[in-house]
Amino acid sequence: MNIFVFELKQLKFSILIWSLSLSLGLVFFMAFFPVFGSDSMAMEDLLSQYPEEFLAFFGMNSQLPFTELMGYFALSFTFLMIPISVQTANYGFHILSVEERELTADFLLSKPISRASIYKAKLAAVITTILITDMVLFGMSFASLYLFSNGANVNVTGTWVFLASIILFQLFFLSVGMMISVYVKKVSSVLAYSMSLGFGFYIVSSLGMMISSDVLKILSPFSHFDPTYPFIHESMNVSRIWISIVVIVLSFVTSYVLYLRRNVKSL
Amino acid sequence: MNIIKRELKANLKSFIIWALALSVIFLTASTEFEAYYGNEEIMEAMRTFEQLFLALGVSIEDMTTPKGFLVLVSIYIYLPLSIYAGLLGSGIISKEEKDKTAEFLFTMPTSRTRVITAKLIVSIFYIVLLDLVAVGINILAYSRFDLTSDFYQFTLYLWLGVLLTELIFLSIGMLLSSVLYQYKLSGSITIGLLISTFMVSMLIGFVDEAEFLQYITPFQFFPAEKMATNTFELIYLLLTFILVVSSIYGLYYFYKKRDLTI
Repeated sequence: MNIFVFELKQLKFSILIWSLSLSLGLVFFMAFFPVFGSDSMAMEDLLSQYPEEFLAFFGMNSQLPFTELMGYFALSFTFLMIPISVQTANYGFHILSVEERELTADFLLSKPISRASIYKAKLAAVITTILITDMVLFGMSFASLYLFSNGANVNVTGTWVFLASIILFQLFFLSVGMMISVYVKKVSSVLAYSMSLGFGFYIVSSLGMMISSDVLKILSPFSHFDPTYPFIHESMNVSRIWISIVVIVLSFVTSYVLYLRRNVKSL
Repeated sequence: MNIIKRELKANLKSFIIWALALSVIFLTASTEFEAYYGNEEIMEAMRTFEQLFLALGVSIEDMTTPKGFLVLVSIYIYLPLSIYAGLLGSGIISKEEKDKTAEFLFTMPTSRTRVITAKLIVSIFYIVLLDLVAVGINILAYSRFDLTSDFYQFTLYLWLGVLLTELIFLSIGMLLSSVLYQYKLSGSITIGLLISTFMVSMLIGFVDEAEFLQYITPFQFFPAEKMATNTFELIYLLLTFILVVSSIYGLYYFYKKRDLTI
């Protein structure tokens, strides 16, 4: 319990800054919808004339044009998912390696508490921080949807399904981050790792989208959790998401085992 | 000179990793180009879709030529290279404090100004080199197709455009790590700036009404579309100059007085 509370306290500013800036980013994007949605009819006519593959090249979709409210919301989230992935990857890389980086490993690991309970407490703490961020972000999502809807209908089921899938998306980056952080010898710069993980997968997914390559789409969680899918089908893209779930489970198990056996550098 | 050598060595590994990863991405993109190269059907389709592009407000180059295709995927050159520059800039200054080597370095008989100068030289060397590698790999990747002198000229401008964008993020990263009391924050803030300006730049791409925001995002200063037509706008050059020079001046000014965390 002490570790859980301590880690949460360490992360409290991080939670504050991230949830505020993610929400602000979303509101900023959504605020442009009312000015943008005015000439949407002409756009829809145009979009319906083109084949699906061609539209996919430019990140568009005829079933969910981004001139409509839900399409625009999905588009905003395509970009918002980059900072979300960086945030969670940040926590993943940080949480198990912070003692070694700040030379406090001797202090923590000589306490009469097993590594297993340290791992569990730390994991519980980061998951809590992610859920707190999500609560703020989800609240802001609905607020901005209704605020800037411009009279359009809000697809509530689709939004809930999508927001729930975001939690899985975050768990992917958290677990992979944790696994890599205990696998490598030393995490010297958390940010360098989390940026490469987040942006790396984003680039893989958007290249895969542009050149419609299935291999790239299967590789990247950004494609598994493609925001347009839940709004069209009102369900998650299970045929892709199971890959992420397998990765999440495997990474958590591996990071747990590796952390218990890790040769932690002392002073 | 010793510090330069030391810094060159310390940052070599991450440079190699970045260069390799970028090469893989660019080569993958170029293999996909084969399907488009000289494809009459796509060219025909492009012409009929002109209306759509006009509605979107994007100027799309002919994507059946290497130059047009490169413009289209250019964001994957600008974005990663800016990230590299931002991380390098904030890391190279703050790593002494992070790795607890500040005490060692700053008790040496050399002034802080000279240390900073050495670090600045090394960072600029690496961003120029990575830019060269990125553009070079692209030239190599597209050399299978008939390249015109127009393409080579475009790559030269692209190289310059990317370099200027990189310089902005490098100098901001360096400034922040010398100004902020908490050295840990500088990397996060630099990256925060980078992500938010990138998102603004994407927003401008989709929403015409947001165009007035183009002055606050470096990604809109020298975009590949403008490099393709060989245009550098004076206002952006001026903005870049002011940003870079004032950041570097600030870096020297504040670092001399910095209360190092030991």
